[in-house]
Amino acid sequence: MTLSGSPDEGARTCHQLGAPADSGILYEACDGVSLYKSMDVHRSASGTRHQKSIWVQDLSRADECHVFCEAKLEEWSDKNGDCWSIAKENQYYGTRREKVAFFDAPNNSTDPWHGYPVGKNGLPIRRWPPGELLQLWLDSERISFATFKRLNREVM
Amino acid sequence: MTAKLYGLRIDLPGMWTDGWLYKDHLILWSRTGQMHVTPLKELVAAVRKKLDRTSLYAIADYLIFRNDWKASEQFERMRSIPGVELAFISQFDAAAEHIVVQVDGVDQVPVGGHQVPGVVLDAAIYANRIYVGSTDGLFETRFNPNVPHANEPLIEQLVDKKVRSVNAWYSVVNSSAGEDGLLFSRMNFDEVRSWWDVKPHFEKVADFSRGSSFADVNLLNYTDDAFPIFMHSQVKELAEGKPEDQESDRRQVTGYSGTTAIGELIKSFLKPRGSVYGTALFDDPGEGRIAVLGNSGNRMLVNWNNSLRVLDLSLGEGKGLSVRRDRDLGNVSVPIDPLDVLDTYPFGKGFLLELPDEVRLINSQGSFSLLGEPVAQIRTFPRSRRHREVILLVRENGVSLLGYYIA
Repeated sequence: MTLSGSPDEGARTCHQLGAPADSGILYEACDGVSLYKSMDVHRSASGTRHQKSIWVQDLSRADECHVFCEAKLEEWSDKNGDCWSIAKENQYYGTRREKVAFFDAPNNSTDPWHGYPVGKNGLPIRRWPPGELLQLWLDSERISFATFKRLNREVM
Repeated sequence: MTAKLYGLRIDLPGMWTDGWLYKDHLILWSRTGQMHVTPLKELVAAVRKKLDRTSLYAIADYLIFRNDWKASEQFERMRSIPGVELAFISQFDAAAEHIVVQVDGVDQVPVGGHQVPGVVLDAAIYANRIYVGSTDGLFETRFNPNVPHANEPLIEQLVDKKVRSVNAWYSVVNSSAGEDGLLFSRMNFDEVRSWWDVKPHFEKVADFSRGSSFADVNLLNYTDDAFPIFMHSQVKELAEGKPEDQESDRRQVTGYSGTTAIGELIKSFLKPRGSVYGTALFDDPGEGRIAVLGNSGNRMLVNWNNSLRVLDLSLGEGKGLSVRRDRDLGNVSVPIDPLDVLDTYPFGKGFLLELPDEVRLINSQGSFSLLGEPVAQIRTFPRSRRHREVILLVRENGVSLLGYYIA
């Protein structure tokens, strides 16, 4: 999956920082300030005892960072400062048909962000984007009314 | 020979979010939460104007406006006469999937003057009481089919809770409010004051609920777990001469007396005999390889290791709960990845499945695609005599009523 057609092509400027280490790959994100870590536990079901949601295989780690970048630059955040993203129609972020991605704001600004897909089929973690963000995505035509209603109903 | 589905679809334009067919009226909610009412006879007249032959009037009646005719013994007998069924289905164009009727100019009159706050998530109508669950709470109003455009107030009954699912039957309302729980309230039919002055009492009967659905008179509460919780209902039989605005079932639920976990029951029934696998294969509900996706009465649609199964749940007197393969749907092959099932709806003796880009019917006659696009909401009327096999679909730019015949 690529972000071509994304409203801001400049968002696609994550830079990998070094070799894989500490169970992930670190990137300097698009804003040139944030760090983003693509975690191994969200790239493969093996190697972890606890269930985790998994990014789809055709979304590269760099593009995973780009998804985060878009969310950050578009200010798709909640009151806790966490960021969210929604896959375009006919696309998924997660292997279990997750269309939403959640990015956990780090406690310290020098720590990296990380994120993972979330959805109805996923883990029993009750994360869901705030209603205001769903409305914003609908109003900006990022999502259809059917997707908007389904997300509000929490069936996808 | 493979069964074929013949469909009739009526399309009404507009930006809608939910709808119901109730006591000869079409009730629709706009995306701003405003309720609109249209007498069905007006819709029937508008549809007939669009049909190019009178034989299609009967098709529309049988498939959408009068399902009781379709289910009648009289129709069954007529169909047994050679040629009658062929004549019926000959009205459908062999090349087209459905007969589609685009209807414009039908007045959908706004009523009440009040808009349901938030995003409408679900609605239930019972005994002229309308309950709407939204992101902002549970709201109640009334509907008088004799004065359908009367301006009844809209009363907020549950505040600051996201009510994602409502069901109303057996004189109770069950509201699923996620982490705020499953909230149960009995309907008061002894109103001596104005109904809006009587505040219903809500009891929290479960700590978490995504949705609930009646299995006969008992309740299945769906949570984040793979299996719903079976809630045993306490039931009172109404005396003869019930109040005239109560629905036809004489039983009233008065509360829930206990719960039963049904996961082990289902797993032990479906696990292969003499399996070499340990319980670990089945003991991971979060994997999504085993889960109850929904129920249609006592029928449960189960994801079993990435294939769909239909099981019947029964509560024998003095015997406890048991599970068995459904006699009608137990052997229907459903080539759908269970992960694609967004939601399920009770529908006759089968299920409607809401898939990402499709609405599909599965019943004893097979698996049939009804619409090949994403929908915002599906509404079925399993307890309606006249619309039992009608589907209301909220689409991107309108609402459709869909009826069908399988031959």
